[in-house]
Amino acid sequence: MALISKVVEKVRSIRIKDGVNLHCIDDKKFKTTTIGVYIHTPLCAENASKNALLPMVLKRGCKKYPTFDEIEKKLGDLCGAILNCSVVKRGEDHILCFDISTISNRYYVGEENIMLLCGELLFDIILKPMIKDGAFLSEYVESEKKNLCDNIDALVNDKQSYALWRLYEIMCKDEAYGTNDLGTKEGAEAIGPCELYEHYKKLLSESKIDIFVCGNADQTDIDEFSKFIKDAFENVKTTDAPYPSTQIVSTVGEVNNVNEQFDTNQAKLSLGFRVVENVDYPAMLVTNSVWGGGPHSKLFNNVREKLSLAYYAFSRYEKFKNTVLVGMGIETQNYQKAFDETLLQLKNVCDGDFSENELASAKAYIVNMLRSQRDSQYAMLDFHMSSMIRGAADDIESLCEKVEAVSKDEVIKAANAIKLDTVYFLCGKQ
Amino acid sequence: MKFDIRKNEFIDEVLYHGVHESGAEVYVMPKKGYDKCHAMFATKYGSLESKFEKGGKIVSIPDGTAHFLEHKLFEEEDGNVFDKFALLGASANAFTNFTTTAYYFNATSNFFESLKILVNFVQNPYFAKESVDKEQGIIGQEIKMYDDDPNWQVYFNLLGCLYKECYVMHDIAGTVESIAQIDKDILYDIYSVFYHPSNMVLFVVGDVEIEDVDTCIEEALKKAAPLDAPVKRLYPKEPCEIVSSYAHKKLDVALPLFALGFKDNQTDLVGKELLKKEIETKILLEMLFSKSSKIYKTLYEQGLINESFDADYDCHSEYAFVDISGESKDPLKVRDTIYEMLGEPLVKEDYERAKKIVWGNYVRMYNSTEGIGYRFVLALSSGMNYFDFKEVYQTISFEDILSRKEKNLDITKSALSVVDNNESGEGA
Repeated sequence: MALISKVVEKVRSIRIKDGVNLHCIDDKKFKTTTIGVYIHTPLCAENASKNALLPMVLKRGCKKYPTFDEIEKKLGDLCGAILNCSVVKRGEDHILCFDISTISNRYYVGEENIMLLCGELLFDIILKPMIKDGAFLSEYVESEKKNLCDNIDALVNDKQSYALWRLYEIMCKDEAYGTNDLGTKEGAEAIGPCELYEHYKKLLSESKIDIFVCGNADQTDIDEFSKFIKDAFENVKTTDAPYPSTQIVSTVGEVNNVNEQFDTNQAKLSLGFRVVENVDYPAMLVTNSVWGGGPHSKLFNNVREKLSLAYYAFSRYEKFKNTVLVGMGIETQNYQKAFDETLLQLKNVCDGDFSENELASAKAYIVNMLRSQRDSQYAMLDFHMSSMIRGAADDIESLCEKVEAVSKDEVIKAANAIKLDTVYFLCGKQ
Repeated sequence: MKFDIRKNEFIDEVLYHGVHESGAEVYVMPKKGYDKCHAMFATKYGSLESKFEKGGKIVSIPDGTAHFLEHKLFEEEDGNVFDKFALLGASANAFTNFTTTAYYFNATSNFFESLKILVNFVQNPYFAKESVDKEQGIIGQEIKMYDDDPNWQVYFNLLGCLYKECYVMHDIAGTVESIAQIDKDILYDIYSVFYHPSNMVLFVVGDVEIEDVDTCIEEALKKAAPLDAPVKRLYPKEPCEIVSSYAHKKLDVALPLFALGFKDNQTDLVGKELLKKEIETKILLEMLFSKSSKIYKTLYEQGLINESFDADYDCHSEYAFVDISGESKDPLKVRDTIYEMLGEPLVKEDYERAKKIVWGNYVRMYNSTEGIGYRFVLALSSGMNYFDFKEVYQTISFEDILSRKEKNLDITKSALSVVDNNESGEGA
């Protein structure tokens, strides 16, 4: 086998102006180049719907391409460039995301620099929107409000993700985290085009803004691009803002039980846990992996393979919020069995009742997952931006080393810090 | 093992191909600089197979058997093969679709150890009665999950409208009743025919040297005796007509889902001709239904569709269909608008743009090792090699697209499937 050389992806950051930074990840193996712009703002119920609506409205048209089909035609001419305008939450950081990706110059049969054309289009959309009388176009705002409401309604279509989302809504009802990244229908319906534009100007001037370029780009492309961004931001007032912080709750009270009935064949059980002690991130990753983080885990092998209670059963660590959740799809009448088995498997981890092989598999799974991120531009952007938000300086390889060094005792200690907070059961009508 | 090498300078990629003495086809695509190596070992056997001939005897296959066998193959006499992959840090999985059952893993280390495990477990079936019984419980839950999945339901109801005989209309996992008929003898019978190496493809893609792959698989692949005769797959004869133009199902959804399908009856193409048909249809669908199209704009501005709107083409030598899907408050109006606008002439400028988009999508596929494995293996199952893409793509003209539209978007061969909250559909 070929020699294994340690790979460290290089992230080079260039300050554009206060609060605005360009981060370049150069990787020639890709056929595409991806440019992303991310605006960070605190997640809160009051602004969530506005934040969610903004990317949708901006994508409808800008000064240069006033209608969405003009934007789409331009994307088509850029060899089917993929433009994504959306919101995500990372802990209680609500992020407006704008990214564009297309094939690199090397594979483009045309004279122009396709990467710069994509950058121009992206910044036209973000910084030169369609404005009339100091407001966004009301027809765009109204029709996207409708779409946003439809998207909120549609959350219920996928019961698996809905049951996980509902759990967090209930568990974190007194924290910003209990706010959906799409906000609420009531919030969306109340938004006016002028208010939305004011909100946007405020966001641009008060928020931290990250710009990423990842892929097959030459130094001259980067230089030209960074000059282009400086020009684009010239007339935008910005602030050297920090990343929004996330409230960590480290206590649990009496377990909160909520049942809801739906017209569904399969019931969904979601359990929400909080981590009540200080535990290192790598130890928490390994602990979650042993308990329910993949086909090697205790939940998969017992709830699914041994007891045939579910087709899927997993636990997931939410690193920004320091919570763990468990999700599974079961028969309604198997509720107690599945619940007991889940807690029994956590207890087994707490008691150190797991083998060397289980620990080794759990670590190998995470290391493989972490390294795999280097093969996807979006995953790499997400990894590095997440590290910046959390204030963690790790590159992928050094995090892998820390994961491999986690001891059995550290796993036991971490598992003992996981305490049940809320149980949400979405059951079928009997 | 002897490998041929093909270079593709349009995309800077190389593909090795060889045939093992057992008959298994082996493909290797080296990808310098990638962390993740991907290997897929697949048989050209999926839910489409309903009957086959073995020793002059016709054997019927219960619905869901291909998928059931996939689940069971992971089990070995000494436990579950997932555990072996897990210890090496490889993430393994499998899928079954209409034409293919594929076993694969991704690994960022210990690649060749994992490759041996993959080849070994797929070539060594172990089906025990108790474990077959247990699997009926797990798959029963999986089927129930699909019963609640509106996207899955709207899709298979569409296929039920388009197809009368072809097994493409049957749910891949089968039904609780059909999988109850499966026992270990059926599994062994089917395995002996469809999992013969001559019916299988091994595809490796990642930062590997061809010599190392060669050494590894020479050791791992079994030296199988050839089959007495090639597998005789018995497909029912599918009429050109559709069964019904409308289907409806009630499920708990916020906004109705729809799937509008067009049956493609041209089922005699293979190789580059089939690939040409696929590329032509993709260009056509981009022209008509992409976000820059007139149809999309019209529907979107009337609030009849949202971003979930999509048009896809499933292309195989035994069946092919166009599937236009999305969410809408009024699926009947979406269908009627599309029918009406299909009457308008195609525009050359849209064609030029659509061709660029299809090229961009093709190049983008080479970004991901597992994406490459998946797309290549499925195409190979249908008798196509994606390395021929550029050569075929260059021969396509606007006139080809015009005639493709007449053949593949015939509204007399189309049907609408709807899933919504109503007890009964509004009829059509």
